Parts: sequence; structure tokens; C-alpha cells
Amino acid sequence: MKLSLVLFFLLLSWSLGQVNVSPVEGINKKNPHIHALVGGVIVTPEKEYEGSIVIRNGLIDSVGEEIKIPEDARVWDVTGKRIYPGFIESCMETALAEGFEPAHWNSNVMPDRKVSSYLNLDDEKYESMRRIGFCVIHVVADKGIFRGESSTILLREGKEGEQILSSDTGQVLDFDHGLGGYPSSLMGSLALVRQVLSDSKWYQVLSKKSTSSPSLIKRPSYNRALKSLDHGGRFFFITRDELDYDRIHSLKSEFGLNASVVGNGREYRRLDVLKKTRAPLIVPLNFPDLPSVDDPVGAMDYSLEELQHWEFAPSSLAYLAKEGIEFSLTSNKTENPEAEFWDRVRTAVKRGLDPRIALKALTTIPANYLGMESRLGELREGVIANIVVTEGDIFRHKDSKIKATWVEGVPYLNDSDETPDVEGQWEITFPGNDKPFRWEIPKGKKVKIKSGDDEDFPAHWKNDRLLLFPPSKLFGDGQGVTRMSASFNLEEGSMNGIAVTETGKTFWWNAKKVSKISDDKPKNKEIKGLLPELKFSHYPAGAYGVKRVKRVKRVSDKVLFKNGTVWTSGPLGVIKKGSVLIEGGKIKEVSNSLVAPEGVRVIDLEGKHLTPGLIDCHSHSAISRGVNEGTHSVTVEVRISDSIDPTDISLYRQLGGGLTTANLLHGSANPMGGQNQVIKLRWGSGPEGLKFNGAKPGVKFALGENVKQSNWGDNKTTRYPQTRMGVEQIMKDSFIAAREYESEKQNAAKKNLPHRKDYRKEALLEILNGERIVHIHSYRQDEILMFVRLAQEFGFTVGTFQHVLEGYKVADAIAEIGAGGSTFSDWWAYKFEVYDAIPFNGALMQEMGVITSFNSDSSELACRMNVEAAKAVKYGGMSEPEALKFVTINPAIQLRIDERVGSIEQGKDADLVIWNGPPLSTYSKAEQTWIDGIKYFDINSDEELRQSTKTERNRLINIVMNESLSNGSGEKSKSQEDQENEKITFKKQLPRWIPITQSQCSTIFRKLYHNGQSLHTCTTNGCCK
Amino acid sequence: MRSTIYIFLLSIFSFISLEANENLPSTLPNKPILFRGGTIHPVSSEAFKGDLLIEGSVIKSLFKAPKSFPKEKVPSVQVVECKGLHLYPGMISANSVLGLTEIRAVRATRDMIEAGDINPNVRAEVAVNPDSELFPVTRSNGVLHALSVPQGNGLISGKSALMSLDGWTWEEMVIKSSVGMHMKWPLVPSPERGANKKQKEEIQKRKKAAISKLKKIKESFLRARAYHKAKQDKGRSDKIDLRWDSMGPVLKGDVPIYVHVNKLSGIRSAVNFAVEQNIRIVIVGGADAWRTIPLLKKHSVPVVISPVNALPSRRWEEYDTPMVNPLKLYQGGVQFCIAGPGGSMDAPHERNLPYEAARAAAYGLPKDEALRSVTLYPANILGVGDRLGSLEIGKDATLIVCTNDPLEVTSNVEMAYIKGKPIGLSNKQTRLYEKYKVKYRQLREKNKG
Repeated sequence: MKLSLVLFFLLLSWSLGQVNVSPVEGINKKNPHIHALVGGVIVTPEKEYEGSIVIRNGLIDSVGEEIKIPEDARVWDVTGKRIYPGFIESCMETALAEGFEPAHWNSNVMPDRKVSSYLNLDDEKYESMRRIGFCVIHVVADKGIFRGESSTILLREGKEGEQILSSDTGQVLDFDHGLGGYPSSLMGSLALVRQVLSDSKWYQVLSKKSTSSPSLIKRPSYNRALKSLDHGGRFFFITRDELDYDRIHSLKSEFGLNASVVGNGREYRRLDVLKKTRAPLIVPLNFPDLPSVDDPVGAMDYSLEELQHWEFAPSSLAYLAKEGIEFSLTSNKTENPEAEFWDRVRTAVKRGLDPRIALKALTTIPANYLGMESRLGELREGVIANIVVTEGDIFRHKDSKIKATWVEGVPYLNDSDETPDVEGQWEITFPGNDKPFRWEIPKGKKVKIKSGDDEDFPAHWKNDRLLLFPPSKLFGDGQGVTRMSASFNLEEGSMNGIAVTETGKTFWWNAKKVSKISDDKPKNKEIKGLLPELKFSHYPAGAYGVKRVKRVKRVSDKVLFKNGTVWTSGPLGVIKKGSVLIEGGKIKEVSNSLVAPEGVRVIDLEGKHLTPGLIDCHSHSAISRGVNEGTHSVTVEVRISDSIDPTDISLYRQLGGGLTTANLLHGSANPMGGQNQVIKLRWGSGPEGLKFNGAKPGVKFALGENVKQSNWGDNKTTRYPQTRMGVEQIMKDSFIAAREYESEKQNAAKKNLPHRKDYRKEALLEILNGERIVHIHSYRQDEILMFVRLAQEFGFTVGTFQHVLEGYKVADAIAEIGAGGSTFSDWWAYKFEVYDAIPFNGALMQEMGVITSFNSDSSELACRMNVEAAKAVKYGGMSEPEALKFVTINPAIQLRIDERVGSIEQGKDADLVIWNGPPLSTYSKAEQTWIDGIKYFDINSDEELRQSTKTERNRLINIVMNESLSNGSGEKSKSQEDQENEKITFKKQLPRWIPITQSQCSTIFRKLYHNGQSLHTCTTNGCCK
Repeated sequence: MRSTIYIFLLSIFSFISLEANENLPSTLPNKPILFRGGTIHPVSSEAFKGDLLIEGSVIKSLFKAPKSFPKEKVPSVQVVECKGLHLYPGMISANSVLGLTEIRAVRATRDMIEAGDINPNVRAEVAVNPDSELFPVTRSNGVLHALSVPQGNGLISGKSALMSLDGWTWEEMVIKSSVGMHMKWPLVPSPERGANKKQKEEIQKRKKAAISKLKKIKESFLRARAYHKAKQDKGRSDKIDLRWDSMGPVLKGDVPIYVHVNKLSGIRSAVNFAVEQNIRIVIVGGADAWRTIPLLKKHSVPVVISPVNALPSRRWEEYDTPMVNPLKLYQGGVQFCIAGPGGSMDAPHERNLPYEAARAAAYGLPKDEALRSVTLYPANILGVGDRLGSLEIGKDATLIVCTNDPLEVTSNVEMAYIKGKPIGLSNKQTRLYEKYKVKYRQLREKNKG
């Protein structure tokens, strides 16, 4: 048995100068509380020096090289030890005690929950944290969107309340979703956060004003949640991916918040954003496990991004420091902090993190972040006596140990889980032996005693005693084993104990330490190949990422594309032997007789075809963590722009099919969905860089089977609407409510009264006022016609009818309101409302005056939109140039971006695609794709990227392999054993066909760096189509 | 005056729609048919200009220009002028749910997944609805045959049947029953990784489930063998278990297993299983098939690539990985054909089969190979290469007449024949198209008047 963890703490209960209001029961305890730590090395970020510290009543009384040690102090000799300021855990997520009742309508909004009132930490957790060297922890709740007010506590025993340094450190927010009900998506979560922040501000203004002028303003009904949300305080934002930093940045500027970022370990990827945000940053040490690449087949399923992350994660802190970004550290998100925390800090130091910065990140910086800089984080007069005493440099040396953690002047000695230092040669004496035995005790918990010439024999630790089992014959008494137990007096270097031989003879024995074992064991070898000073310069991470620096330079380039067949999709039609000159990202000239001006790069298109960049008017690519906020019937406040995912590999693949612009839409799970975002496929940019600035704002609405939950399972029968009749009414009702809201708002403005901003109604108003156009998911002619009439009644603009598979039946009505038709080329019969869909729909609508486009609604189909366009030739007999317009200028018109893109015309954006054959031919493929005059895809550089991806994967896999072999952790598979235990059962099974329900659908949250598969499973259920 | 024209037009359309509405299964013409002067693409050999004669349900003779069908015999045949047109064998979809579902979202129309894990005894053809509106739509683009495949959430989904897309009853439509016994192969998750404890536990659970499923497959085969042994030995058992009974032809190697699997590990495990069991195997899906070429070749395992129009299954893979899969199998000498995705969502879109092949050609597969991969190759893999898949004397007179290369979207199918019978190319969609063209004609009239 190992020596159990022995943790001494002195039960010193005293007043520490605190005002104690409760009466004392029993004898007053008045232990001395003046201590002096003498002779240690005092470590601060600035310097290290030998000195002493005097502690009085829980505070540091004095500290320095030559200070006077008071007569009444208890002196602790810490010669040779290092003394650090007590470490601060910056953000510990923990489950709270139950009992809180949310006051807000949304139970995820709990700003009024004080963590300090629901603390649920046991002594074991306290002890464990102290063993890491933490004296103070910042405790935050682990669930909710507004998780409540966090608390800073001291890790010491005491009466209730004595530990709490602060019960209002800050509000903790998380963009979590899918907790049940609204919100079910990331964008929904963002919308809720905005609304609550805005509400609380309004509530506070209103409360104040209604008190000062009660006759004018009605007293608002008391709302505990809104009342407790003080915008002046600290806000800690939990992040879940590398794009949350951007989201925090925009909320921070929108609401003027004092925001801190709780990181997620991928900070190195977004250094620029973090630098810009200048928010306090709390970084976890959640380095990924060693990838298991021993099986070459399994290894294929590691993405390059995962492998890279394994390599880069431990360097993240060094990168942050290099960029001058300040941060504090947290043990949060490490699975076993006690075992992992310091190892990981030291790994980060090995990767180039200055240990002084690491020290700051555990002391002065978190003190500052938590608003405790006057009381914590340093070793100086007047601060709380939080001190960590170590043996060896804890930031550098693996064998370094924390010997004591002092919390507010209370020492907690850590005798560690190591065995006492008994290794060495011992001389054993017992009654009756003239020549003492010489036994050697090696290091470690499982010991084998070397007994000179004789055989080795076993021994082990039980609590603080060593039990030895030498053969009885040594003592000349029998053949079996003798049981010996030993306790130690280490200062004297002796041990003694009792021994019982096989025959039962019992005697006392003694031993004296003769020498230490002289030969030093080999030190842990440094891991080679793990310390590259790599600059993370590609974005996104993983395969096909782009070096950003390279790209910027090219914008101003002049390029002449000459001698190709130019399909302009504009007034110039198709120009055989045409040329296009671009400059500064724009098309400068289009003609059939261009001569290259000097200094112009010429691309010869002999035998090739040039078209405008293709446009997809219905896409769900590049949206992370939820495409639908389908929890309410009306969710127009949610914004796709909040959840753009520039890491979606689909973007690169679609560039390979000539796509340059896409309309990212909310799903169709509810009648009035969310706000769209038009993007350009500027692969390699961040979320902001993808946005098509200047595109008309839009919103996704939906009709029919999806919104009335027809295919969501038989138990979905209560959400309004359940019929097409109800769909009309809920839309009508929402618009009327928005109008009423508008007049209230105007009234309030006139009288200069505070008015509650309702983001949902604001968005509806934007629609009614023509600032936002509607993209309406629709199938059947009845519902299309209904919506046309609704648009006429309320006077809003319909940008497009989406899918609109029966548009051909009422094309005249669609044309009447000038709406576009964004349809599938030939999809049908996947659900009942599309049984009458026909592939002639596109051509027929176009013929009847509806601007028509073909869309993908699929990450895969979006890679071959040119061939989709060809179907308008096949079904309906359009000419090829006109058919091409279904994926170029027509969708541009529908999205109100035709001034900028959609055709090859002078002055438009240089978004171009080079094809190796006629663009509508199934045999053709895109060779180059340009956006804004910059080449984003090239079949040749794609070849290079493939090679570098392969090389990089191999490099990393080899490093991982070496690492895992040297660790000797060749994975042992339990599968053999599992197989033995497996029993075959041929029992009856229920039918396995289970329609995907909304709840299942909404749990398909695509995280960043997914493998890019289309979410076809949702098609009939409302998530997408 | 105008209204009379209008009534006249209407009557024409109602006439057309009457006949077309029925999508009547057709009858054999009483005379041989001569397709004269077109470009004939036998697929099994070089294309040539000439004549093709069918008699009854088979191809009787081919005449390569300057040779032609004897002029004196012309009165005895029905002549179809094909000048400027192209003749191809009808295309074959080797992985589809056609016939087994009409509208996937409507439960009442779903007949492709039977309950339970082990369903070797269910057969697709008996559930094929000959009046499915999907058939006329599919064949209007030249896809004249489809393998109807039972789907499954379990392990053995059932037996597929090759159907021609014309006939009064399913019995008339069946070209071949029991083409294959279809299986969904369980995948043991590898690598066993997870970002946190919960994920790690989850993956262990999945692994356990997969291993248990693999054992269940093996156990099924063992039980089936034991059953047949007992049955041969009359005295020992005369009880009938439909499941094991129906596996007889599989165990004998007469009917291959069609294993639906994409990942390398699954392909490897399925092929090794088939070798061990000494049964025939066809891989369906096969996204990673190109990574297993030596294995496939060694054991002569054909692959139904399904589909080509797909995304790479791993984030780091080349964007054209699925598109070059056929090329690589072709270069590696593995027998293959190309099919669409074959899922329950895809039945209405089987008409797009030729564009799956075309995409492979866009990414390097020779064009003639692409054409074979949806005609002759599926016929060979499905075991009907002696009857279908090419225009050769003695084979079924199952062909299409196109304006151009049928692998190009912009080309159209003008005529189609299945076993010598002319097939109507109208369908629900063309009827709706015609109907609503009338609406707008009426509107225009009204506006003018």
C-alpha cells in the first residue's frame, strides 16, 4: 500500500481581526497567529532574493532581506525552499447547490443567482486545490447563459462566510444553447444575451425615473433578474470555440461592457482578435491527449487540424506572451488538475513561456482581473498572507514539490503523496545478531529490498509505515517469511519496529541509515522534436488553410484574362475570344480586343471559358452551432451573422466548383426564422472577412409542412401553428404587434420616456419599413399566393420565394410583387408538399417574369451549380447563356447585390471563374476562382496544398508515434476482452425507423472544423429544406 | 375565332394527356423495328453510324455504314428515322430505393426498411409499386432499369431485385430476383478519441455495440450453415426458419452479399469476412475503395461506387476525392460501376444517374468508361451482362435514342425501348408542365382581350 496522502493542517481558529458577530460557545480559542518564514528564497516576477516574511493576524506584516523577526513569532525554517505569493485560480466552474428559482422568463437567465449562496464545495476539493498551490479561487457556476454572480473565496477552513472574499466578483455568461427551449442555437443564445443586457439597462433607467417622477412613469413590476444585472460590473464570458472571441468583442463594444474572456485553449489561432479586444483573458491548460495514430487506418480519421492542435496547444501561452497579450491561468477544463496542472505549466515554459510571466498569470494578473489587487497576488506588507512554499522551482523542475500552502496566515503543510525519503543503505540490528545486515531501500512506493548476497525480498508501504517481508531463515527461525514493520525517525536517520518470524518468534529491531544511494537515476529525458518555435500563420487551421499575409498584397494587381470564351451574364452576352482586365479588385474592361497594358499579368484562356463567380441563393454552409432557432414560432431577432463559421471546409470545396457568393439562411423550422447573411467565399478570412458588406439585409420565413411540424413525429401537435391557416395568422399577428410597438416607441420618444427595445419587433419593423427583405421558404401554390397577399397587405418586400416548387402554378402572382424565385433544379417527391414539383419550374417562372435562380441548400450541390444551371436548358429549353444566369446575375438581383456581382461588366467586383470547358457541360471543371481580384482557388496551387497537407500530416504523425513509443504507452486494446464477454442476443426488436424529430435535429450542432458533410438527414424535417 | 383555336389546342392537349396520363405499359410491335441512320453506341465497342434492327424483344442485327439494312426488306419493318440522333443501351441504376418508396416523408409510402437486424428473407420485388410516379420520371431520362434495394438500420436488410421500369405488375417488371443479399456493415470506431470523459465513454459504448454486431453477423452465418446441414440430414430437422432458409444461395455462392460500406476499415473487414465464409461479395458505397485496391483485386471484389457526387469524408482529403475514386479503380483494374447515392431521399432523383458518371469523367475517367459505368458495368456486376448493358446482337432490345451524349445534361432522350417495347416518356411532371402552360396561355389571352 502506498503511504496515504497525509495532509496536516493546524486547526488554528482565530479571529484574524475579522469582526465576529456570533457568540462563542465553549472555551475561547486564542492560538498564536504570528509566524515568521525565515531563510527562503522569495520569488517575485521582478526578482528572487533570500529573505524572510512575517505574518501577523492573517496579513503580511513585513517582508524583506533583513527584517526583524518579532520575539513572539513562531519561526519556520524554510532554508533552501522557494516562497511564492499564493496562487489564484482565475475561474473554476463548479456545480452549485440546488434551490435557486429563476426570476426571468427564460430559466437560463440567472444574473440574480449569487454563487456564494449556493456554494457546494467539499473539503476534499479545497484540499486538492491547496495541494496545487491555490490559495484563492474564483468560483463560477457551471450552467446557464447568464450563470449568475461569481464569488472569490479563500481556501481555508472557517466559519461560514469567513472564506468569502467577494460575493459579487462578476457576472458570468456563456453562449450555451440546447439546454431545453429557447435558445436552441448559438445565434439564439447571442440574441437572448443582447435582449437581456438591453432589458436590464432599460429596467434600471425606468426604475429610477419612476421613483423620481411617479406621476409620469408607471412603476415597473419588480424583476429580480434585471435588477441585479449591473452594467458597470465585471463580465466573464465563457468561450467554447475560437470564434467566441469575436462575439465577445462585438458585445463588448455594443454594450460598453467590462468583459473578460475565459479561453478554451485555442487562443493561438486568433491572436489578432484577442489583441484587438484587449479584454482580460483567462486561459485553461487543456492540452489535447496524445492522438492515437498507431493504427494507420484509424489515424486517417484524425484531421490535420486535430494533429496540429496537439502540437500547438502547449505553445499557445508562449504565443500570447510574445504578442504582449496579458493573461491569467486556470486549471479549469483539465480533467485532473492535481496531476496535470504543473506539468502543463512547465510544458508551456519549455515551449518558450517566460516563467516570470507564468508567475504573474497565477498571482498579480488574476488579482487584478478579480478586482483584488490591493489584497492578493503579491508578497508585500498589508496583503492577505497567502504564500506557497516549494522545494525547487515549481515552474521549471519536474521534481519540484509544494511543501506548504499558507492561506490567510494559516499553514497547510503538504507532506505530499511521496514516501518518506528513506532510500539508501540501512544497517539492521536485532537482539542476538553480532553482524548487522545491510539492506538497501530503493526509491518509490513499491519497494524491493536488496539484502546483499541473499535474495531480494518484498516490502511495501502501509500508511506511514514500511512493511518488510524477509525470509525467516535470515533470523534462523523457519523457512517462511518474517513480518517486519518499521517506523522512522528521519531527523535521526533511524527506524525501528517489531518483527514476527514464521514460528511466531517476536522481537524488536533497529536500523540506522548508513548512506544514500549514490548513483543518480537518469533524469527524465527531454522530449525531442516537441519544442519547435512555430508561428501559427495559417487560417483556418488544418488542411487547405491560407497564409493570410500573402494574399493582401495581390489586391492591387492588374490582371488580363485574354482569349477565352467569356460568358458575361450581362449585356455583352457571350464573347468568343474575349478578354477581361481587372484592377484593384474590380473589372476594368471587357472586350474582344484588349491589348495588355504594360506591367500587367496576363492569363491566357486559349480554349477555356470565363464566367462570373457563381452565386448560391440558399446555403447553410459556414454556420456553426445550429442553423435553426426553431424553439419559438417567431425568432426574427436571431442573426446568422453571429454564427458564421469561416473554418467550414465546404467553403474551399465550393470554391473548387466556382462558387463565390452564398446566401446563408436560417432553417425552416418556424414561420418567422432568423436574419440571413450574404457572404463571399473569402476562404482564409475570419467571420467578418466573409461578410458581403452592402448586401441588403434579409430574413428567412417559412411556410408549409416544416413550420407546422408535419414530419416531426406524431406527438408534435401543440405548437402554434399546426395548419397553413395558422401560419398566415401568426404572421399577421406578428406584423400587427410590430406596428403597435412602433407607435408605442414613437410616443415614448415624443415624451422622452424610456422605452424597452424589443429586438424581435425591431426586426419585424425593419421588414415592414423596407429595410429588410424576406426570403420565404414555400412549396405549395396556396401558401405562395397567401404570402403574396400578405406582402401586399403589409407592404413588405419579398426578396425571394425559396424552393417555391409550385411557383410555376402561380408565377403570375409572384411576378406581380416583383419577388424572385430561388428554386431547386429538379428536386421533388421527398415529402408530400413537393409531389407536384417539376423541373420545368425554373424556366416557366422565368418566362412568366419572375427573376429565377437555382440554389443548392446543400454543401455538396453547391460544388456543382454550373451543372444545375444546365437543367434549365434541358427542362424548359432555355438558351445556355440564359440558363447560366440562374446561378449568376439572377441570384445577384434577388439578393440586391447585382450592382456588385453576378455578371462580367465594367466596374463590378472581379469575381471570376475559369473553366476548362463550356460552363454548363457536365465534363467541365473549374480551374481558378477569383474574388475581388484575388485568386482563392487554383487547381495548381490546390495540388501544392495537397502535398503540404500530406507532408504535414506525416510529420505530425511521426512525432506523435515517437512520443507514444517513448512513453511506452502503446495502446492496449480491451477489445479482446470485450469480445469474450459479449453475448449474442437475437431478441425481438422494435422497428428502427424513427423520424428525426426537431429535438434531434437541433442537437446537430456543427462545431468548428467539422468534416464538411451536408446535413441531408434534416431535409424533410424542417432543419434545412 | 380565337376561342375555337383555343378549344382545338385544348383538345390536342387533353388527347395527349389522356394517353400519357396512364403511362400505359406498352405492347410489342407486330413488326421488327429498324432504327435507321443514327449513331450507334454499342458501348461494348466503338461507336459507328448505321442501322439497328430489333425483332421481338431482342436486338436482331447491326449495320455499320456504309453497310445498311437491305432496302428491299424495308416494307417488312417499322422504320424509326434516327438521323442526327444517338442510340445507347438503357442505363441501369445499381443502387436505388425505387419502387419501395414514393414520398419518403410520408410513412405510409415507405416500404424499404423492415424491422429487426436480420432480414435475409425479405425480397424487394414484392413491395414494388408498378404505378409509382417515380418510374416514368426516371425512365424519361434514359434510366430504364433499377436495382430495388431494401434499406436497413440493422445488419442484413434483405434481397434486392433488378426491375425494368415498365410493366403492369411487379412480376412483369422483374429482370432478376435475388440479385444480392444486402448488408449494412458495422464500423468499429477508430481512433478511440474524445475531447472529454463523456465522449470517451460514448465511443467505448459505440465500439462495444459495433463489435457485438460483427459477432452477430458471423453468428448468423454460422447458424444458417448449421441449419442447412441439419436440413440436408433429413432425420435431424424439418423445421423451417425463413431467415436461414433464404440464406442458402448466399452460402453456396450463387447470390453475393452486397455490403453497403464506405470506410476503409469496414471494406477490409467485410471482404475478409466474405473470404473467410467463402461467399461472393460486392461493395456498395465504397468511398474508400480506392484505398483498398490490392485487396479488392486479389479477391475479385466488384464495387458499386455510390455516389460520385459526394463530399470527401475526411476534412483533410482532396476536394475531388469522391470524383477520382472511379478513375483510381479503373486504373487499378478493379471491377466497378457507378450509381447515385441510393438513399431513401434519392429515389425521385435516380434520373440523374448519368451525371454521376459524367462527374467522374470530368475528373479524369475516360468518357467511354464513364458511359460503361452506368450501362454495361452495372449489368455485369448485377449478373445480367448477357442480356443488358450494351447494344449487341441477341441482347435485350432495351435502348434509348438521344439528341446527344446522354451524360450531358443538355442532351435529351427522344425515345426509349424496353425489351422491344416503346416506352412513353411523358410523366407526372410533363403533364403538370403542359397543364400550367395552358393556364398562362389563358392568362395572356385574357390580358390581350
